[in-house]
Amino acid sequence: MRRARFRLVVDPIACDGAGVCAELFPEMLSLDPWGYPIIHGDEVPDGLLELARKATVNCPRLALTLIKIDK
Amino acid sequence: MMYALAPTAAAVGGKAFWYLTRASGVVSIVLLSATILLGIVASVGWTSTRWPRFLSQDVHRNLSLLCIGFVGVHVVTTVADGYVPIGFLDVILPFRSPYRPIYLGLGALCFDLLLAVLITSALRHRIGYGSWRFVHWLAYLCWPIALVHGLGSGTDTPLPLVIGVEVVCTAAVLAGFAWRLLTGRSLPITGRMAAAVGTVVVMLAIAGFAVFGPLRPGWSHRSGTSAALLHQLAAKNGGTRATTTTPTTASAGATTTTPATTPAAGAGTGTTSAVPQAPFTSPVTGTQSQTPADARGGIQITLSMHLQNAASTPLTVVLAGTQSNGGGVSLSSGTVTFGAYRGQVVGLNGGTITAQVSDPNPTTLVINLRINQQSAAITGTVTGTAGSGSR
Repeated sequence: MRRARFRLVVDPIACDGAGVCAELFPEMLSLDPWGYPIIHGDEVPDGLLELARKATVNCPRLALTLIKIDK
Repeated sequence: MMYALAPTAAAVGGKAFWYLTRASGVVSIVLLSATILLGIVASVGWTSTRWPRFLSQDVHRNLSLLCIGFVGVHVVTTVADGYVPIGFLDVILPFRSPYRPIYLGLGALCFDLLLAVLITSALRHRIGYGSWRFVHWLAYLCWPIALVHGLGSGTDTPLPLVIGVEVVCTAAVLAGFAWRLLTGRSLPITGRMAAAVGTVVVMLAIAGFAVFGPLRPGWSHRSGTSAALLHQLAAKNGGTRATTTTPTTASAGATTTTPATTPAAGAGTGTTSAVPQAPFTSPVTGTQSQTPADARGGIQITLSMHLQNAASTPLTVVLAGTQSNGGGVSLSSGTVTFGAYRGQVVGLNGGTITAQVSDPNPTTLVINLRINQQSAAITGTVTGTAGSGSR
């Protein structure tokens, strides 16, 4: 059985640009000039999954989520 | 930790829970204040190059868990102490304890709020941002409730150290709250003004309560403890003392009533016996006398004692307090005269009186007493240590 694969999704309405996610997961997230996150890449590599999870858990607005990729 | 605790428990004679309760209560209010401040830092969104935003959140979360740990110790030791009947239900359900029902109840209320905040934070992802946020606001409510609980049910409220800790915590939280209101984006200006005015009113009310309530003498009899329980506690104290000491004090009392000095001021002016050099431990004997209650219930208890040493150094303790209807006595202040020197009573716990004299050398006297309720005879030991003690 294959391991589940995930990608990051930002809820643009909930996000208020705190910037915590980019502090915690700069591997795949950077901030635009207004402080809102830009996601780089699609699938979160296996080795970075824990870091990605930490970024989603620490989002003060719960605007960042990990979503399973169906394939 | 446990290793260090064991001798302490022995030294305080089974009062370890009582000390733990008081200490963990003070630590909890400090941690709660720090948690709120960090929460404000996180929600305002202040950062610097050396303090990233996730740090505020992480420290806020970890401090809050530490705080809840100390509150847990505070609650468990309060129940386990068993000196006053506080059950596990009183921990959750407020305002039903016979002992200081309002102020203990505020503690239970605060505990419930903390649990609500803890559980909703743990389930933040399940319940959604809105509900989590709403419950999390209750943490702001928790703090003044905890403060009044500490002031009203804490037996250490008048200690300068405790007052100092509370003043510092209050100043810090108020400054943080003001900062939060000035930068808050989620509330309209009218809401923020109302919150500011409300905070000022509440804090003035708490300050007034502290000054006219727990910081005035006789608080233990005005704090709502039922007369029946006060009577029970007074009987418990008198009873244990009488039963443990009757065989010894009956004879000791008979032989030592003769050298009893004139009470109160007499010992200081008349006799100038040599004072033993600290550290020392000496047996003491003497008698207890008590003035009848005045119109306001004020009484004075005089313990006239002599050390059993060559100089027969006189030691007189005068305790002032008020008498309740239930028969209990709440002592508010005390002075000690040791040889020719005067000092203050700084602690009173069951049969142990702690006093400090500054002349001829700073000395802490710990006087362990047993008072025979029938003959008013006192036996015990006094231990003198150099310095002003650790209090």
